[in-house]
Amino acid sequence: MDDATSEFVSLWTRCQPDVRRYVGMLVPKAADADDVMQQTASRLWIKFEEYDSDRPFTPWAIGFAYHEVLSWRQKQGRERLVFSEEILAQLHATIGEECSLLEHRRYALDGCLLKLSEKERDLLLRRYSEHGAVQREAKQSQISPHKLYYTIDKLRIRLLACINNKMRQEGWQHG
Amino acid sequence: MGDFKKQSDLDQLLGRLVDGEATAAEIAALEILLDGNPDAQRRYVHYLDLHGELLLKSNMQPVVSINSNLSTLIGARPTTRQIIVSALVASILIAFGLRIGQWMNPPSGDDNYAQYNVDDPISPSTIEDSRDDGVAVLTHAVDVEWSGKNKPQAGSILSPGTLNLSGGLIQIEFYNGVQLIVEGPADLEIVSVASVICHEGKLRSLVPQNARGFSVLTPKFDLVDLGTEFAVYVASDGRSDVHVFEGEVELYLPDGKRELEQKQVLLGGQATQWLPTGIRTSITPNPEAFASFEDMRVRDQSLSQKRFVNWQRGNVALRDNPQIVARYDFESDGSRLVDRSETKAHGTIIGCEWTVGRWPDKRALEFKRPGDRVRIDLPGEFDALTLMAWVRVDALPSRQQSLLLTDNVKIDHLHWQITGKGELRISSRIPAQVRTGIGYSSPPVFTPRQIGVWNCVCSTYDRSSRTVTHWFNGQQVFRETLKTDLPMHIGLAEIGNWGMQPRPAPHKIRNFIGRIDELTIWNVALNEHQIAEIYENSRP
Repeated sequence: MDDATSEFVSLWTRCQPDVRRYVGMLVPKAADADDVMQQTASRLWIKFEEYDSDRPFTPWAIGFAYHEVLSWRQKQGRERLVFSEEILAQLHATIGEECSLLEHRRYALDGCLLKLSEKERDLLLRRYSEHGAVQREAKQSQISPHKLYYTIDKLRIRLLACINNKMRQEGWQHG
Repeated sequence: MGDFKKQSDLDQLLGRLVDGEATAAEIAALEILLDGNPDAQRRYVHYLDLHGELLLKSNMQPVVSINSNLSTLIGARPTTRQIIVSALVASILIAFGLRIGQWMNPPSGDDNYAQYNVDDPISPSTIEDSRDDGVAVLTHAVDVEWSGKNKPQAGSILSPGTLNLSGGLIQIEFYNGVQLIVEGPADLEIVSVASVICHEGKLRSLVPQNARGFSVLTPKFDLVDLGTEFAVYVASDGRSDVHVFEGEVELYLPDGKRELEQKQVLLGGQATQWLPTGIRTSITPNPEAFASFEDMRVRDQSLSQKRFVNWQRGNVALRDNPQIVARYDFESDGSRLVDRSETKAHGTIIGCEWTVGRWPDKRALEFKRPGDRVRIDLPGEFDALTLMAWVRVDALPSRQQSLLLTDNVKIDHLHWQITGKGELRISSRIPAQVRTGIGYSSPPVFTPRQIGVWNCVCSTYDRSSRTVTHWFNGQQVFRETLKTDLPMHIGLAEIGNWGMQPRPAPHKIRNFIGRIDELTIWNVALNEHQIAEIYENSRP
């Protein structure tokens, strides 16, 4: 690898989780978000010459990611389930306002997960770690999958409330 | 209450979204909740970030490697180990988020601070006041007989809730642009800006492209629109029709699951019918069976003309009524507001411009600028008064707006106005309380929902029954015993403003903002039957 290449790889690898989080918020479906990530990486590499190394890399990368989200959106037919450009623009702005808080929120999440019962935590994390975990659990426990999804919904809302609480205790104006 | 409902709606939709279950209709509903709403957007960001973080914690999120395209471009593929190590480094670098923030939202002094004041706990009341859970406007109503509790009129804002009509036609325009004609007998439930439930009735709907996803739920099917014109008929015996005139709709079983395998598409020129037994057949679409938007316009226009002619007839009859001491029908022109009563207390119009009133052919005066006013002089001493006016309030500033104010603040002289809280108020100075005076305020009747809507305001002052009563659209809204027993005077006064104020200029601003197209003053206190009858015969 030449210098530019290794510098790029190093920068991109480091900022990738943050860019992926950002893209995931605008494009919730993982496969779609991964497509956008790949396009973003290609575009960044092509434009890497223009990158000013005095400025932070992540915001620069997110600027490209946003454009890739928009152009991905344009390629979707109207039957696809996607947000309008207008809503994407508003969410993009809100993420920008919120993102300095998000790292603190993620930190608070650890404590909040511990406040769930073991059973609840197990159900939630399994939903996230294995494909089809909810269906399997439903079969095993004879509870309808619909009900389990509902329970998972409620767990997420409880976690959000717990995080908001912690943020408020730490003196943030709104969690 | 409404906000709580919205929050739980939002959470439910977000759950569906991250679980990959959200339908087109739900995405559309989510967009409506998010649009221009910073609180909802923040909730969205927090929810999705939580989701992303849980994925990451459970290791299901693939660490996206530099893709093959790029690898060929740069000619080298970093080792798996490199990526994992870097990812670990990245997760430790908590300051990243901060930098993104600075870039996306460059610091700009006070603006930045303001953004953190959105739900400042010290000002909940102002936020509360400026919210409204309306989702649609009732634009036309023709020969409607309401059978339920909710009896909106043309111009009313509609919140989620039930509409029951035993007959007649209404047209509803949702805030997202969806137009709906409902023909009674109908039992309809407005769920949100994106969805209605039709238990019974005939609907015709025009859904613009940007509102696609609008859904109509019925006992036999769920219909999701994709931008089109269609009609739905649900008969009382369960027979149900869908007629698509243009565009495309999706039909699902009415179980709310919207499973893709069950989806049936109906295109323009197609129609389908469920018999009460549930058997379904294709039929020929029949646009004539449903009132069209043009029919609606024509029928509404002719109804409005009829009502105007009816009002004109009543107007002539009122002229000879000796109990009327001033009657301004706002049907004159030029700079004089003609009093049709025996008193001939014609008003002088200053500033105001002639415009359109309750009906397209009715004249009205528009009060807009702080100088706009009509000066009158109405001599006499009154033991009883009825003041009645048709007004269209176009703004609700947090100060009083004059309906009829006597010059200055003289003892026993009438002040009739709308307060900053939207209350209807009669007040005057009395010898014992020259400074503050005494007043009688109704509960707030003018809310933001009344802006731009014609309303009938009426107040009676009656020494014999010792009461002050306020009426709003023919309904009594306030009644209180008189605190003093003194006759009332009007004399030199202004409609829609306040002249000759006690202090030299600069004067307090009291101008009315909106239109007035009828004002009548009786020297008796009309009773509830008389007031209800006049209202019925003069409403738009």
